[in-house]
Amino acid sequence: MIALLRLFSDRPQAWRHGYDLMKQAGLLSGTLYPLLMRMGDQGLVEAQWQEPTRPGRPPRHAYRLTGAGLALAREIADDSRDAAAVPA
Amino acid sequence: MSGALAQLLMALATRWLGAGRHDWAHAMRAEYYEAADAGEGLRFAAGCLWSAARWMVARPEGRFAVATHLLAVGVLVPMAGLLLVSAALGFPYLAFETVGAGALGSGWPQGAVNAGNRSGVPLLALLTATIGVGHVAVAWALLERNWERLARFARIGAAMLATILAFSGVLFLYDPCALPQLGIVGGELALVWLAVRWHDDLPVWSSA
Repeated sequence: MIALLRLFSDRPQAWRHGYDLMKQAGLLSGTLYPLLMRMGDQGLVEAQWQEPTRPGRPPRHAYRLTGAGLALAREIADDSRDAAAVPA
Repeated sequence: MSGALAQLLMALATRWLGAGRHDWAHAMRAEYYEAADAGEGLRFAAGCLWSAARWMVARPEGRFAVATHLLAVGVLVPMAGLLLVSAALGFPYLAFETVGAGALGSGWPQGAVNAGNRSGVPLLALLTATIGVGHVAVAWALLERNWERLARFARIGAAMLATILAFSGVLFLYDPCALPQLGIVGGELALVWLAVRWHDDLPVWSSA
């Protein structure tokens, strides 16, 4: 989920499609969709239907972080930065 | 071929996700076309089916659906086949050897049957075949969750089994090869009863 949060938070306003997310995050559909469903249930991700890009195709579901999702992504990024800054 | 298989997996995933995740099923299907264009349709569809399976077994009603399908398709229907084969072979109680399970014992009556009693055997074979057909009916009612019909068929089946055992005693005296049939069918009825009880405990359905 952290990888997905990071990916979404790169461009938080951008809507992303499931297949593109799979490719960009390096996840399989069997991993991505349960994550997206859970993030949707937790209010971290919002979804909207978009017109098909090609004729004859069904509308596509697109996703982006909600305010809560973006806050969580930033929190995780800050924690990672702090952990990296601690001297060994 | 792989396209047809992928479509089948996607249809199954949609079915397994059910009404509760209808939107997600449509979302997956739309992305499937993108994956298929990239030559990854089957892999994508298999992942969607895996997601749907995880979603289904995570919910009590999903686990119930899986268990009842296993009971119907994995236990009741094969048992129906065995009973019908047994009846067609001329009334062994359960012809285990015909399905490669001879180690479970021979279902053939061991005792000698005199000519006067032999005339009762076709009727017992007919009852065995009827119980076999009844198994399919019970499986059907179980999958449809029609508990009233299921209870009626189960009662009739139990009565027929009791009749077989009683008349076996009359015709063959005591014969232990009748006991596996009694045990297995009794076990099946117990599993069906447990399924009905489980259904009553589910939060979203009631058999009342």
